[in-house]
Amino acid sequence: MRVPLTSLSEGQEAVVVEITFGGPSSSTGFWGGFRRRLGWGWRGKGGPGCGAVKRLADLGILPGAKIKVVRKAPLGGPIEVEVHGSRFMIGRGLASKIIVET
Amino acid sequence: MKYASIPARGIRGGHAEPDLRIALAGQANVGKSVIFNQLTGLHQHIANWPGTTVDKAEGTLYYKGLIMKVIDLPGIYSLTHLSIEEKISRSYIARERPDVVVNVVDATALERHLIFTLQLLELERPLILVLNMMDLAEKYGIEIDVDVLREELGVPVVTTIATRGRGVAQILDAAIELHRTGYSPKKIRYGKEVEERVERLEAALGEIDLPYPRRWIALKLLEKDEEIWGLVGEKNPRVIELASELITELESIHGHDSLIIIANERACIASQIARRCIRIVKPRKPTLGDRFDEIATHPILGYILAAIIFAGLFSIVFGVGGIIAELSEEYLSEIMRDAWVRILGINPISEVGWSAIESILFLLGLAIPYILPLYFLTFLLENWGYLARVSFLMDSLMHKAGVHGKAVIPMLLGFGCNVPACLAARIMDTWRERIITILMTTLVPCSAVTVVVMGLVGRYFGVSWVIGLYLLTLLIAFILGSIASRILPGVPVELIMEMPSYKVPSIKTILTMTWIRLREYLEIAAPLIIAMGALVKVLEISGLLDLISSTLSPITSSWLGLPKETGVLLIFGILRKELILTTLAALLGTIDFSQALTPNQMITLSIVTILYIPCAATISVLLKETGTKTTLVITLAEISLAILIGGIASKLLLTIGIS
Ligand SMILES: Nc1nc2c(ncn2[C@@H]2O[C@H](COP(=O)(O)OP(=O)(O)OP(=O)(O)O)[C@@H](O)[C@H]2O)c(=O)[nH]1
Ligand SMILES: [Mg+2]
Repeated sequence: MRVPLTSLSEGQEAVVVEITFGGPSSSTGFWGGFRRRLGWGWRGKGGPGCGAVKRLADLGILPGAKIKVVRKAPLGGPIEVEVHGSRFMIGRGLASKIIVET
Repeated sequence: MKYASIPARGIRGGHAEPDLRIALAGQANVGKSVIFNQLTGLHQHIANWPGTTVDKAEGTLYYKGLIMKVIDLPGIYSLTHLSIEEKISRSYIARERPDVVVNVVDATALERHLIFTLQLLELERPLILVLNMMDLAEKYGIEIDVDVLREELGVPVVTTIATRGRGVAQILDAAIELHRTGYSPKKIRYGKEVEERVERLEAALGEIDLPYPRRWIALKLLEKDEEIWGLVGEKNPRVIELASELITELESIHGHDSLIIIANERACIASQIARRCIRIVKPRKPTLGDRFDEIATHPILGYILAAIIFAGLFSIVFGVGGIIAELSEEYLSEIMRDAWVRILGINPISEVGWSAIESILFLLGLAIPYILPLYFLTFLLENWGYLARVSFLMDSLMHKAGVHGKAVIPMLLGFGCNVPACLAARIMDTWRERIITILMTTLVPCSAVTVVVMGLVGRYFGVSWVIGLYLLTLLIAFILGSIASRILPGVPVELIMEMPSYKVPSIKTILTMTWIRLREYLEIAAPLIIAMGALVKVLEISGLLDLISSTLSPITSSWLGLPKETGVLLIFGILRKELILTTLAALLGTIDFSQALTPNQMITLSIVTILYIPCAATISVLLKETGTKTTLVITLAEISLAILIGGIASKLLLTIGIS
């Protein structure tokens, strides 16, 4: 069953299927790169390295990766997950964009 | 496992050309700075949260007759699409071309780190893989077959326990050996669809004049790396056209972004390698840290625990500081003053001299007792690994101020000193979040502010008032943060952060770091405090003090209800906040402030001190980190805020009967 990571309960394991692009779409993706380079819709030094999908990929949270929910913070706080033996915190909003197969 | 621990001797600042330049690269929090310190004998800051080192540091050492230069790079996660730290590290590795790149990885999470190692291999620099934290790997029951790993990657592999200095010398041996024999890594190839397109791009690139390997450029083009895209576009726009075609093809085959496709290729290879060389010899049992985390991140207990921990820390700081300060006030000052007057009599010169002496006493008796424990305890907290848990707990609250949970790390460090804390704001992912975090951090009362507030409010009203004021300040910081997050362009981003495992802080390291920082403090602050102590007396005697005081009196006396003389204090306070108290002492000739200030004035002056301006050192960091305009806005905003809130507070206090 395909569900967002947020709907897993503590201790449950699943496999990442996809990370749905969302959030600051004006500054991610292919054309976003151009817009950014031209200084449209983006300010700052961070660059697209801040794109959450990319950051997740750098940490090995990619389609096909096994992911386990360790715990969930209260009040819409972050989710702690375990991937490849390391633990991460992921903000709730972002976690809801990670679609997993249970 | 066998280790020989030959302590490598460090020297400071060698002048000769190094025979070998070694760069330490790797993801954050793997122990690069520990290794750097072991090798060079220098004191890079070490902490158990990702992102401690924000700029590169260099040190030189002699080893086996060679002069070696070691470079500690900020931790990075990727060599594509860069953050500030990633730019620093990538440009160093690719452009400055160190002779050997030492890739430090966390042995307890090898697979994840290998993804980055593969990216480094693409840069085709001589590489050594260092498996650090072998002690933890052993504890978790992870066994790594070093020979298989060496075989798979075709690079030398060294195992280390950096905190104990184990294996550190072997890194140098491996570097020398690698430099001598030359470098022949295995060529790592990704999936067919990617490789075909890399080849076509390589062919199209031809002999392009860029300081990077061709294959690497091709891969970066496919990953849509901004900088490479721009560089290649300038030289050969046709390649860019081809690249976008190829990207579209790839994306339509796989149905993912090309960035993800290539990341996936690396992840697959990393996982293959990991499978071949890692053996779990015993199932990971919940460690003490895991069990502690049950409480530390618990929805209710977690917050209670945090409250207890911070209350405990501050009561130690306030308690220890208070006792020493009281002792020094009672005895030191009086005895010295008597002696001074007996020897030199009372005349203008002896008054100016006494003023300077008074400031030294002040430094020793009132400033150090608070500053020392604050430094020590913030370092302890940082190295333990608890700060990341606070980020976890505070994330949803921090979102209300437009930033995520990581922002609490710079803010908490701010209680020690705002300067490194503002630098630590680089852990925030975007410009927008960095500005908000810096704004909030500059309002956090640092150890110098604590000296003033404890010297006034703490001494005459008790610690609970200080805590009240600090909570008020944090509330104000929070409100300002949320206002800023509404004004600044851009969208909030979400928290992504590793949860570091708890580490037993090494008391020696923490004492060393405390000592280094204290020495820095004394070197910078002491001369200033003494000079200003003397200067204020000169101003007073020459009559200039009156002029300054009257000019500022509409604000100081009319609105804030403070004595006129505080005008000059607030000016000196821009240099360093504790100068407010030391010059006040110099002006009064005593450190019993209750003689000169009413309770209302003490509280008002404390509030103004906390809020009114980041100190000169912080301003210079702000300039560097945020630019002139933002610094000006933050500074002016905080001055007006201090005047506004100070005035209101003074009037409110009057109505509740504190005059
Ligand atoms: N148990 C154990 N802890 C280690 C070892 N090496 C480093 N540490 C701890 O790991 C933490 C991170 O060390 P740093 O040297 O600050 O890490 P870094 O790679 O410089 O991190 P950034 O500057 O954030 O990129 C510290 O708390 C160290 O004490 C090791 O071999 N064993
Ligand atoms: Mg470091």
